[in-house]
Amino acid sequence: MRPDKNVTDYMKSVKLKASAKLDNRVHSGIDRALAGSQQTLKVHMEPNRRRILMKSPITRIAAVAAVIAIAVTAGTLMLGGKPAFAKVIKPILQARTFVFDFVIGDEAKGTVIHDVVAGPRIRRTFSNMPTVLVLDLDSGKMLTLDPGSKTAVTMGIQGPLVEGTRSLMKLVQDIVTQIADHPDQVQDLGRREIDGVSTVGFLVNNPNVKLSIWADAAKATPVRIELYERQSVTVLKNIEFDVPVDDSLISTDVPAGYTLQKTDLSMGDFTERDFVESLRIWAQLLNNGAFPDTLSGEAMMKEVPQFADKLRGLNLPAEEGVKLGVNFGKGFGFLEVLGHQGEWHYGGKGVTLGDAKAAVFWYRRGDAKTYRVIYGDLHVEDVDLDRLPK
Amino acid sequence: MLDDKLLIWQFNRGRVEALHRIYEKYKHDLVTLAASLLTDLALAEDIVHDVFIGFVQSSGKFQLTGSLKGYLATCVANAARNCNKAERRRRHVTLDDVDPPGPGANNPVSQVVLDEDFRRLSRALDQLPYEQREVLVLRVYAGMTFAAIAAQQDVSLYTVQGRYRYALDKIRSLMMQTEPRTVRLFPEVSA
Repeated sequence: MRPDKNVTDYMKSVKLKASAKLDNRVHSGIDRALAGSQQTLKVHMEPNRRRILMKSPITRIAAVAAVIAIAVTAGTLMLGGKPAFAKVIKPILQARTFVFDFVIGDEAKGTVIHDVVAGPRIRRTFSNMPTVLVLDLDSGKMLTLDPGSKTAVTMGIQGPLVEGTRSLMKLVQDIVTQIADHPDQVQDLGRREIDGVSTVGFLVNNPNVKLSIWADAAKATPVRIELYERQSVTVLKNIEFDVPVDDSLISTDVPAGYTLQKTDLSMGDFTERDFVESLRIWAQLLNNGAFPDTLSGEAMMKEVPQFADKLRGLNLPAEEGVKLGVNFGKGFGFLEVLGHQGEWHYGGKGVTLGDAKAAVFWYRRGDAKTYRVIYGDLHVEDVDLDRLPK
Repeated sequence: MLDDKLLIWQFNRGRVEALHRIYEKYKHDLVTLAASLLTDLALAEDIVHDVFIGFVQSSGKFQLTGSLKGYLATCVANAARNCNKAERRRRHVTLDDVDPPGPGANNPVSQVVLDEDFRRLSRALDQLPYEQREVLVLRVYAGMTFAAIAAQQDVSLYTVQGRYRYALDKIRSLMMQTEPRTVRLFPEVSA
């Protein structure tokens, strides 16, 4: 060890403590000083407080912003294949509107996301929060509505969000196309009754995707699709086609009675930096300074109610609350996209935020020669394969 | 850090508990810093007190551009430097001059006075030119970068690095001369 390091180590070991007398002086002095400048402070505080009171319900929007990335990129699949019409896909490919529910993870406990799809527009609602999203994939715009506070927020979603969402809709079509084009990859699962409907099942298992599809035996239309990915499964169910959809439901114009909250936020891209910030928020805000045991879209969705509570408790101004939610969500958008572009591993269980030696997350895109490793203090390094955590 | 940003946001909205929390979070570091700069505990606590009371006035308009700890450390260092130029000559009460407490005393200040390690360190620091001492203390106790210290002292980065090196050498030399414990602390030097 170097001698100069010994000097600094020695100095660091010699620490004083503030006296009780100083504590009393400072605390009472702060109170007196603040009381003395109360009039001045009031000028600063009043507009802000009024603003917070008006907009505090927006924390719900912030919470939704956090899950948007998960919800819309869940279907980022490129199955390939060209349509070859079979009896079962005809109604799917010709449908002008789709309505379906999907659940990421535990079907019994997970958040149910309800989609109404008409061309490039989607109206999306959630089972565990009242917020409504309206997405326009052509313009890359998203309208978020909080019915409780009658508050609206618009946000740009160009990039992976648009592509992922488009793929989710296309998923239903591509699945059946795959079945028709590659019968060798399809396994007959037999018959099964789902919600009183007799269905026939198929298992599709190829390098791109593993999923099962259950179709109404009489009508030959899919009623349930189970998509397997890593340790998680996404279930699409209650699928309907050509349901009449009122234009007002899928309009990105701010509805009458709502106040538009202006922001300059965008969810157009997901970067490593976003992901690092998500890890920080999760550990610092949701998990008492420790990284979560598991990392997945499903795990994140479970945190959303707590995330909303925490945001409310912080009493942040609307803009900052939404920004925090967007930051949280963008990081997991990065994770979702990464799942389709490379490989990643999570080792954060038991690691405390600030631990510079413990690797929390490592990944690489494609055939990259080195991995990007994120450590407990959130610094990032390029690391060779043989130096990765075991 | 997110915590500090939130505290500053609350502080700017006049929430008094935020400033109390900031004080509680950094008080020991700042007292150590000030005492190391001034080698005078009473003055050091006065400095920390004044910095926080002065900080109140920035409520509503304070903007944090770096770390909060670094900002507060700079405030303490500036105040200590001013104090060092004037008041310290008038009111020179060093750690060595403070009477030790009687049995059963539980005053942390008194306990600190009894801290032989700090007394020893204080004597050594007191023999450094003030600028060198400031560089060393800001680097070690406030974790400031050389660039930030250079900006604070309004000198070049090279000068700051030189002062740091001289300070380290001097401290090591001083502590080697008189204190047996330092021999154990710096075995490489004694060998």
